[in-house]
Amino acid sequence: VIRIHIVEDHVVMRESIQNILNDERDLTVCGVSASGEEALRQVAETEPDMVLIDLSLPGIDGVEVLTRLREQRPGLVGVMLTGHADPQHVHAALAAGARAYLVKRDAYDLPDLVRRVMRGESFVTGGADC
Amino acid sequence: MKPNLWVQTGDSLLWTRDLFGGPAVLTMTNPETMKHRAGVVGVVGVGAAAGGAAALRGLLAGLPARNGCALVVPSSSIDEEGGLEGLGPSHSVLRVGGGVEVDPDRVYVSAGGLSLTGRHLQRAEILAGTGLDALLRSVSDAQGERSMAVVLSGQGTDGSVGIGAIRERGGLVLAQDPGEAAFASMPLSAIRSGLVDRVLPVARMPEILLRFARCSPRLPTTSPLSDSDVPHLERILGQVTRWTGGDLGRYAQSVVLGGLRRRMRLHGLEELSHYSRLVVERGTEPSLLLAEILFAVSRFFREPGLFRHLEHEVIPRIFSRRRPDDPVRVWAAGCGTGEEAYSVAMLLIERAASLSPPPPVEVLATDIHEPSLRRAEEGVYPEGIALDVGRERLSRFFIRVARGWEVGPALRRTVRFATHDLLKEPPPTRADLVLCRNLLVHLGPEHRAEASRRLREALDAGGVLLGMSPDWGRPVRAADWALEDLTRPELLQPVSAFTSAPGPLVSARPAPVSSAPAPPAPGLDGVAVLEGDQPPPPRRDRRRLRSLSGELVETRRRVAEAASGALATGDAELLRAVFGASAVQLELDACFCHVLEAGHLALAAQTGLPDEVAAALARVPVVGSILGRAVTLAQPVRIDLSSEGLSDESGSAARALGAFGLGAVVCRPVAIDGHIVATVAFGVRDPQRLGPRAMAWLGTVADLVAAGRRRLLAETALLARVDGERATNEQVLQQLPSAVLLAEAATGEIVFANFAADQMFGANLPRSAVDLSNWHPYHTDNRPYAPTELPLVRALKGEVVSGEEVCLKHHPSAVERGPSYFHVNAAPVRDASGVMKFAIMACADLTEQKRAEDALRELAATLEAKVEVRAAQVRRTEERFRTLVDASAQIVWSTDGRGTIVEDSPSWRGFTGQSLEDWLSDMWFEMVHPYDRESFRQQWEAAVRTITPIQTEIRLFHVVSQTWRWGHVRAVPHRDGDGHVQEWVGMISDVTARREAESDRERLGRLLLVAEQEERQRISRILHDDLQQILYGVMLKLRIVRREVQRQQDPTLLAHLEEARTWIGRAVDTTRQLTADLSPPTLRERGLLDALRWIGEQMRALHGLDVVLEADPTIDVGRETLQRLLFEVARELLFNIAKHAGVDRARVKLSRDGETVVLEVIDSGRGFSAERVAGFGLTTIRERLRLLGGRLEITCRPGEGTHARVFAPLGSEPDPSDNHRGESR
Repeated sequence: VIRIHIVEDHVVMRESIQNILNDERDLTVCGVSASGEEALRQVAETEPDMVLIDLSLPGIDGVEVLTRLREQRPGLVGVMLTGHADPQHVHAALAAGARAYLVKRDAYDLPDLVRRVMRGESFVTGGADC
Repeated sequence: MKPNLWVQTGDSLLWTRDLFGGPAVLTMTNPETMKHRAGVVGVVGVGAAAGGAAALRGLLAGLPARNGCALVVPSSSIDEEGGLEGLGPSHSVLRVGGGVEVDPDRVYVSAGGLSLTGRHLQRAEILAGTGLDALLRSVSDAQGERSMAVVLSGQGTDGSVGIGAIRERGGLVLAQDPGEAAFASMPLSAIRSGLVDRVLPVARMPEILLRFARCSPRLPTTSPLSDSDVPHLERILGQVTRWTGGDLGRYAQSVVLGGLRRRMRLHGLEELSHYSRLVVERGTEPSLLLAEILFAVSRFFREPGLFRHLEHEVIPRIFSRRRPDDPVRVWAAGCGTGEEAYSVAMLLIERAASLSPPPPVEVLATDIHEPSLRRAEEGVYPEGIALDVGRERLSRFFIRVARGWEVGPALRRTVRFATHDLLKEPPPTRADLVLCRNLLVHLGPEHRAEASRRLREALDAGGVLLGMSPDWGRPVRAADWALEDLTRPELLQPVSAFTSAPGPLVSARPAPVSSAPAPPAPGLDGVAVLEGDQPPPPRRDRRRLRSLSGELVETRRRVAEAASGALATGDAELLRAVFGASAVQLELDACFCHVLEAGHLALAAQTGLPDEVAAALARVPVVGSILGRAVTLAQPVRIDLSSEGLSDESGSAARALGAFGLGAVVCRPVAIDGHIVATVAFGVRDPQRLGPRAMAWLGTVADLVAAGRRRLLAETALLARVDGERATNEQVLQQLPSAVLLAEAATGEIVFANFAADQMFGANLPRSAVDLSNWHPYHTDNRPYAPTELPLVRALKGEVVSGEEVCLKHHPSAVERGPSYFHVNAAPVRDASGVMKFAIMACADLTEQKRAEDALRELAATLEAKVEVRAAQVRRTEERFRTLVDASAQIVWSTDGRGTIVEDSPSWRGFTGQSLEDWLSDMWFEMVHPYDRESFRQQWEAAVRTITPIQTEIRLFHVVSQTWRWGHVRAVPHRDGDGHVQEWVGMISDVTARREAESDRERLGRLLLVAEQEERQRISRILHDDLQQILYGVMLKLRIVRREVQRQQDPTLLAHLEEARTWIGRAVDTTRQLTADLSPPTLRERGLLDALRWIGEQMRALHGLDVVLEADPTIDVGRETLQRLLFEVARELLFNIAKHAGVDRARVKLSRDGETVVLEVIDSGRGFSAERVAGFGLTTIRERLRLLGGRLEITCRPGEGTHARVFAPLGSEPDPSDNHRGESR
């Protein structure tokens, strides 16, 4: 079972992602945070394999949160989730150690994408949207 | 005519009570008493130089032993030519050296100079060649009208000046016939001076001399002019007017009666009734009387006291008040033969030479009498002028010539002569000094006021009028008048200037051709001749009305030809017919015949041989002089060319005629109604043939010529009348302020243009009616005139054009700029038979009026608008109302034409609190805000320089509130009639309230801009952060639902689900796009540079447009509103490029220029035209940019791509209240 920690400020999105991932047998959401600060505090307890972070967060932004989390847990797989695919953001996210950069529009297939990331794939979605 | 008291004072001057006002308490001297006292009836000064002894002998031989006269002969020639031998009995012919009392019936001969005082004859020192002149002067002083002069044979010019003094005192001057004199130059010089009464052989002299000496007309004695004489006088004056056209009414009665008196003595008539009969019977007498009255003697430096005063007082004053570069101008009115004008010119030149640099000096000398003027212009004077001019000035200003002295170049440069009738023509202007020595004295009282007014009109401000006034009550001797004048301060007072426009000293107008109503027919000959004599001024000639009748033109041509000395056509034909008959040829053996006009000669007869005769002499030398004599004598004259004793000049001419085989010349005057109009002359080979039959032929020819002349005169009279009317009309047209053009019906050619038209069109005067279209006339509705619509052209077609308003885009006079307006009337001109001959057009210039109206209207509109705005504001709040009342005071001010403040402006001082001194010393700019000061000063100076109304807004210090307040300044130039700027009138209204309202609006605009952006951002954020997230959430929930549906295997439900998912996806896309449009999150979160980069990528992705961004990464635009705006501009421009430019590349540059950030968007595409730019959503962007203090510039040329630049200030937002917060004082 892959343990996933979600960092997402919008409650509807946070819960939806939680629902869709928990709906899968091989996936489980081990923790959710509404902000970067919260995540930095909680991740040590939730011990996730993967952290799914919204790029635009209140306070510390997504890239910064990922950088710091990976400092705490160097093996932690980071996936950046965002509303818009901006190359600069993509570069920043990948540089911070994110394995994948997903646009929310593609979140419908999120369980598969999570599995592919965990299999070691690294990719960016968004295509023409960029 | 009212009887006047005539008195004789001193020696000879005449006065009337009415003329001099006060009681004429005078020493009344009976001439009879005087005769006894003096023992003589006259003293005759006799000039007898070379060849004079024989002449003197001839003269004395004819004089009776008891003649009552004393003859004084200063002559060194007598002794050389036989001494006193044969002159007469030794008791009556005495050699003297001075120191004797002269007695009647005696002859005093002296080799040295002599002078007479009373009856006392003494020796006098004399200048060479002036002995007779000096004697004659003293004789005239001593004896008055009893003085006489006889000029006999001699060489040189002696006597020619002295005889002037004799004539002036009413004495008699005789000269020996030059043909008889052994040496003719002395008598000829006297004759040439125009001062000789009669030219006679010596044998005829005693008769004339005694007749004159013994005659004492009853007229000017102590008795008043009797009632019975008045009708005679009126008759005489009527005759003069009738025969000569001359109006004696304008002359003072004393002058008229003085002239009558001398004429009567010349004829030996003592009763006025007898003389009046003579005037009626003898055709030449009226013109001779007129000449006598017009007669004036000029002398250099006449009245030395007057000229001393001129030299030491008047002229220095004139020079000191002279403006720099302005010449000193002097007008010598009534200059006669020029002596006075040259005299004053000498003084002026001397004074000017003493100054450095010598200022220019101009003397204009005018007179009505043309022959005098010609002599003045010739400028040759006899030796005797040395008596008056002095050796020093003579050598400096004159050149010695055979006939005496001629004026030198300095005088010629300074003095100009012109014909001028003071009473009929406008005077010159801006004279510093007007001299009119005796002009006023000669005029009758009713003309004096007008003449005096005109003389004063000529004066410049502070100028001096100097002349004899007839108005003082104390009678003095004529020679003292000017001196008396000087003791009377009023004539030396500066006379206030007539406010005429400055102009040249001489009016440019040519002297009008005689415009007097036509005199009766016989007198007309002279008028026509005079007119023809004048060289036609070409410019004027072109514009003269054409004569309506071709016949009259032809007549006129013939008259003109006759006047120029050629034979009148009629005469020539006539004479050819007569001489064609062989009988006549046989009888007379005539080889030439000549007809000479007598118009001038009649006048010439009494003045000897004037220029007209000289001119004739030049053509036919001897005949001219003989003809002249024929006229003088009013009887046939015969000269044998072969006879001995002809003078040098006659002799040489006779020899020339002799070469033609001529033996004698005979001539006969042609008279019409007793008036001599011409002379017929014959030359014959054989003097023996001039018997009674030949003389009869001569009479027949003369009669035939007279008949021909009568016809000619009748025609001329008709012509003159038509011309007179025409001239009157023409003058009226000339004086009209409207421009008048006259076009000939047949050709459309402009044949007349008045002064106003001349000024308007200048050198570009149209030649034909159609030419007027060259000025591009427009109707008031801005429609151009077709050539056929031109008023003058329409008038030529018979239409009457009344009150049409015409606009010219450019005023015909190049000085004016801009459109001008005219009020135009045009009409055909028809002759008596209704045939159209001309079309006339008159245009009144309305331009100035229009401009003034426009300016006023504009001013009124501005004021109205302001009042309205203010009224609206006033209604708003009580607070505002008070502010406005404080501020609403208009400031009104004015300056002179050069923009200098010359007048107080209480409203300015009230507003600013400035002192009157500061305001008047041009310190107004201190009250202008320092920020506005320099620019406003430049604007104002430019406005004054270019004469353009100024309208601007400046901040002025308001003393009551101690703040700077905004003033709307408006100033307009005010022109006078000539278009010169007289003053500037300005008005300043307080527009602070308006400015505040404006700045309020701007501030609101900025706030609105910020608020709008904030609102966009808020919505964008809601869309992005909330709505979009919810949509994503819904989408994810759908996935969970789908899983359950798949489990239930319900394909319908599954299809619905898939559809819902697609719709949600679309909703997400829409909100994402909306978010980006409203406020791109990148911009919000990462700044302008990233946002520009992002929009570039968007362009590539969405529109295939490659965007290269060149940006200075250090630029911090700072203000969020500006960042957003720059982003929007870039996006808008890039969008335009993608859509319209047809290219796939664009460049975006972000750079910095000082405190300004510059964003450039460049493409190399089609470019978009300016019209389209406005439509591209840039309008609102411009406005928003303006609110942030920035601007957008787009250069786009079709085919060359578009280069858009946005300039915006970096840093904080401008404070909208900056505008009216000035520095504190």
